[in-house]
Amino acid sequence: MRFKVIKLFFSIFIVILLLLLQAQIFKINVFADKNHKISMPGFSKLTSYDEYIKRYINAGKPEIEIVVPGVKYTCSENADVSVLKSFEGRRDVLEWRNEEGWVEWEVEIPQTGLYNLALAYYPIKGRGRDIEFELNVNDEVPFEGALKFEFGRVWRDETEVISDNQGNELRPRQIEAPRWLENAFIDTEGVYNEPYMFYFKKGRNTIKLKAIREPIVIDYIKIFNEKTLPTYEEVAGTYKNISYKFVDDLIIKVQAEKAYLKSHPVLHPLFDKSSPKTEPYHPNKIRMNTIGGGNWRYPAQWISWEFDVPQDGFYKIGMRYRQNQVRGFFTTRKIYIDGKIPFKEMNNIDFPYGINWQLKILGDDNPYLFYLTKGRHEIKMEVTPGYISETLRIVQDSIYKLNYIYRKIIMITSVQPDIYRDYYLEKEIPDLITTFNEVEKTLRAEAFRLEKVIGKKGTEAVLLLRIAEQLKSLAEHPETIPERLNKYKDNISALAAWILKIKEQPLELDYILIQSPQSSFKRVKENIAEKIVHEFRAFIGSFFENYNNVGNRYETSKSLNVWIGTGRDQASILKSMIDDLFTPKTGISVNLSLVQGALLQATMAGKGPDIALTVGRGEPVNLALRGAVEPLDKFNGFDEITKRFMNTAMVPYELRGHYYALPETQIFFMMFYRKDIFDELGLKPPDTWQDFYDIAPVIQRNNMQLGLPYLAVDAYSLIGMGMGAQSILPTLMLQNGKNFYNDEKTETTFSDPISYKAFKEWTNFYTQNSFPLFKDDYNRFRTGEMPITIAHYSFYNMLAVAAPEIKNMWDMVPIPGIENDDGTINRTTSASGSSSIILSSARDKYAAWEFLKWWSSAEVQARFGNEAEGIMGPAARYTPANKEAFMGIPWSYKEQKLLLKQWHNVVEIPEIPGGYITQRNIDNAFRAVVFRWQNPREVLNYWNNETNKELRRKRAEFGIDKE
Amino acid sequence: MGGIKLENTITEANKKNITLNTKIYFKQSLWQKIKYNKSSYILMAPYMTLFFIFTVLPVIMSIGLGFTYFNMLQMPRFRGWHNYARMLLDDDIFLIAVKNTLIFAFITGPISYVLCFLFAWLINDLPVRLRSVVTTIFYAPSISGQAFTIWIFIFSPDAYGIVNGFLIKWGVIKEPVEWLLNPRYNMGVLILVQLWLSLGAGFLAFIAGLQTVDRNLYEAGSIDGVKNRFQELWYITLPSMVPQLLFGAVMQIVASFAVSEVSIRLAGFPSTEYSAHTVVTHIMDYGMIRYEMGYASAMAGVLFIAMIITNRIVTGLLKKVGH
Repeated sequence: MRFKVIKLFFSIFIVILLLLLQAQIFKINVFADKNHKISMPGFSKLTSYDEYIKRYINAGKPEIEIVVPGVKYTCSENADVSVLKSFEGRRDVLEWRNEEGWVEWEVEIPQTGLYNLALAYYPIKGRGRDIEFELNVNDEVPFEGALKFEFGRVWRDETEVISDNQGNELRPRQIEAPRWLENAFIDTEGVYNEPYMFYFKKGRNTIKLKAIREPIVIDYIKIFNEKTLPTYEEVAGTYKNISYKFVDDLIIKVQAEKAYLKSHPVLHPLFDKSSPKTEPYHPNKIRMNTIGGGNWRYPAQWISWEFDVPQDGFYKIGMRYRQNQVRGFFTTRKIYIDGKIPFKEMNNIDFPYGINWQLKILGDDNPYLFYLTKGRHEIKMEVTPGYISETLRIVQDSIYKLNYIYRKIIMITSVQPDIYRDYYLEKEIPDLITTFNEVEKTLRAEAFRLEKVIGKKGTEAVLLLRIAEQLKSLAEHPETIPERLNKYKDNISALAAWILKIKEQPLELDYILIQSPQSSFKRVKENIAEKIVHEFRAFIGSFFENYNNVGNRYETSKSLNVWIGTGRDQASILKSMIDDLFTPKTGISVNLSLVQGALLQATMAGKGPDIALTVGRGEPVNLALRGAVEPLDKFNGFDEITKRFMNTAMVPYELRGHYYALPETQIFFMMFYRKDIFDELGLKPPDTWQDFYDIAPVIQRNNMQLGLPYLAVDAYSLIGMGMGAQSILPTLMLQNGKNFYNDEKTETTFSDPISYKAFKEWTNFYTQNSFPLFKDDYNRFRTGEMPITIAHYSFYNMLAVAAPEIKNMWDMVPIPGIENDDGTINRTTSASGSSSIILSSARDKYAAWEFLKWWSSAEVQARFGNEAEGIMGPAARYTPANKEAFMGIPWSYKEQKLLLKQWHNVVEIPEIPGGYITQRNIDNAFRAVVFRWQNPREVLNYWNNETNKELRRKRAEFGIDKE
Repeated sequence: MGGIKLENTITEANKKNITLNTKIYFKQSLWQKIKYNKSSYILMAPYMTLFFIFTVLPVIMSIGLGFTYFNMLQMPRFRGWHNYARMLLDDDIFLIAVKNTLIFAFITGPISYVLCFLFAWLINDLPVRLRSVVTTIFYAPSISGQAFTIWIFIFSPDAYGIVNGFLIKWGVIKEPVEWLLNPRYNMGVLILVQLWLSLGAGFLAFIAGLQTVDRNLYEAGSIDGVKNRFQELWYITLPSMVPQLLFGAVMQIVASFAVSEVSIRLAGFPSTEYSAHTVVTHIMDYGMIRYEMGYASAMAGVLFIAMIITNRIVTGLLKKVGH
């Protein structure tokens, strides 16, 4: 019995121990996860807008309006500007075609003061992105935000929503609907509600616009001050003077997905299957029934709707919406009716958080009444940062300060401080304690304000309070900073992540209701019975739907079967392009299926497609060896087609003199560096590897890092990506004139002294220069911990989209190279990418070739890329292998030039039978040197022999040497 | 007592009859016998069909393919013993894979088997409600299939990885260690993870087994002179749950011979210098990467036979329990 009691206690003890352990692991994991989402702004050298305004606060806001016609510019440089006598209904306007240079205007200001600026412009056809300018006033960038202003375009659905022959609705294509616009110079980062104000002194001033992106036609620049809006009470006071006929139960319902106009193509109709009350509804088929959602979250994005009012009268407005993304908060919209904000309250209409669809009535319990005359009206909703903009700004400023302190600290202690040492940080960094105290106070004040705005205690403000608490204790005990440095950094990241999150203003709309005041709003939430019926029907229906299909299906024996391995959005775009452009022209119908992988298995089973797109680069040669793909060089016009790509782009798809695939995408390395940190350290981005070695110690001395690409080998992804973009080794070898294989492609070249030198150099980066091998480029680049890194050029999109706080503080340049004798620099690099193939089992090979010709053409590739970017945002920017298509992808002119410079230096690495073994064994050799300090020459030799053995074996398997 | 007597009489009466039937039965042809037992065959049919199609057939096919060259797209070509010869004489990496598989089979297998039982035995004494909670906690890693990916974060090679982070903070190491990529450490980590993972089906079977043990036997045992819990365990508990022990053992053997996913996800595919290569990852390497299905099938056949042999041995050992 005693034993049993002991055993019981022992068991409980073990259980508690294990529970604690698991809890610990969980806790650590959460913390690690945060670590992976670090976001921390750097600091900028320019004045912030707040400081700028503070400086001129007493200047006054004269109510003067001055219009400067665009054609009256005083000077310009590099800008391809011309005066148009008449354009789209206006006379004498300025067309600015190229995306370079600057134009300057002179303006007489009668009275010193702060003014708003607006631009009247026409967004002419470019590449579909917002038009961007930098603004200088009197030859100076007035404040940081003026480095980039965005001027939007106007978009609409090309057609009504139509269905495919499977009964699924298709997303209408988004096309531009350009018109004359007049927009103020505003902040598009979501921290200022009001348009920016600029200080002009009395007398002659200059305004200069520097082009960043996209062409434009300018009518005029307006200098003015906005009048203040009346409140609803004031407006309602005037209502009793209006006589109108009493309407009782009038309900006008506008389906939100049928928008009239919108600011961006991402604001396309969406489909929601979560609620049976969403209109139109179907449990399984795709119905375009909502709009917005996560796509509609950035300031200045707007959507407008048109509706007909049958009778003059007063109306109230409601909408069925869902805001389930910003937890515990509301998101905000500015609402215009017929192009005007009717009263002040409409500047900030908030939509509270909720998991389900809800009803929002403008004015809530006492609905606002709007006087609408009979006829057509327009309602427009625009994202605005709303009430929290000031909090955002102040917290962001605090992050700048905390981050600045962090960088000062690590310059002294490194990121891994010795916790047993007192660094006397409070003496080394004089403003340490004062900054901590000051930020602590600000954060507490902001937490208090937030609680007041939300009306609830302890929700979102907790984070601010927690950080304030930490700062307080750090200020009191600065000797504990080294020990708590990581926690401090985590807190800054958490704060930055929090800002990014609450800054976003997503809102999904189902329909808008315009009703007479007496009528009541209908129920918008489904009840339990409706929910159950819905789920049941959806479940049953799922047995009968083929979710791999995209769009129209045709009889299989006569049409091409094409597989694509992208996301569903890209697949739908491709399908609608096929139905619009390809099928009518050639009479060949196409069935498109969304399939990831499984190509080999399907081919083996005789269920393979005729054509496979987005095929990994190792796949074509692998399949060709076994006779499963069709050589393309036997088709008509093959030589013409290959001219669409860069010189060496076909190399990975060649086997025994035949070509088995056409390149689709091609991606290569570029170098990214932080301008602010380089300025601070007095460095220039390296041009050659020598420069790179020269700046490395400076960066490392300041406890920061340099990043080089390295991907741990994975046999599957090697087939997909090839070897070119796994590490910097191919680049080092190619710059020294050595490819991986000899010219006959029978053997590797690693026994060559040049290759050994490159290998040695590569391993030295990690063994002697202790570069980090495993790192998270994105996070460390943002924090500034790694101010320079070499990465695929798609890293650009990631930074552009997901690192707004370091906007304008970084740059992308070609990678370092080796100086040639004639002083030019050899920047050769290797690449990666995907391809398209025709399977040997294809029934109609000539039709298949027609399709590939069409698909790889510049026009199609560019349109595909642009539509994908339009729908999914710049993070999904396409990287076509087609040279001409690349010019149509919305890079700015400057970026395009840099990318092209690097692209012309791309040399591809061939794919050969057994090629999978090469990178594997290089990596084995590399790891033996880096992890186990083996002799590089020995291990390289050993693994090189192993590689060649396998290559010989594979060649024997396919009888290649016999030929 | 009356009941037994009655039964006996019935048996006596039928004995003659049965012997007669048996004689007739053995004289019949196979078809007739099947007809005679058709109800059994019908009841067995659904399972046997599935078992044959999805288990027996693939095994036979794979053994057959083991004697061929097959690249998945072209027709297999017969090659005789070539694949087997190559496996044993010309493939260094296969030997590494066998070594690692044996390490998993003979180190993690038995340890985790014993651990499973120990935990089950300890937990079995907890109050019912607590017991079910704890059982869930232990069983959770095996239900949530990919849960072991959490170890990637724990043993991340980044300086901010969890283990590295702590060790650097405590001053044990200065530079981050590549736990999963460095051949010096990765097998150790994998064994740890495999142990954590394998508290699965076997553990659940043991709990079930412990609960089916007849309580009366313990009473009888204590009268017969069982002195402590360990004697109780050896002479009563274990012999009463031999079926569960057997089930657990089979599961454990299969699991430890088939370690692959863990190795691939944690140590990479292939792992550094093939240090964490197992027979199954080697099979996948040849089957899915090099498209040499014939060779892969030959290896699979060898693995299959190794499993069966181990199974026999373990079953033999388990028969000795309690004796």
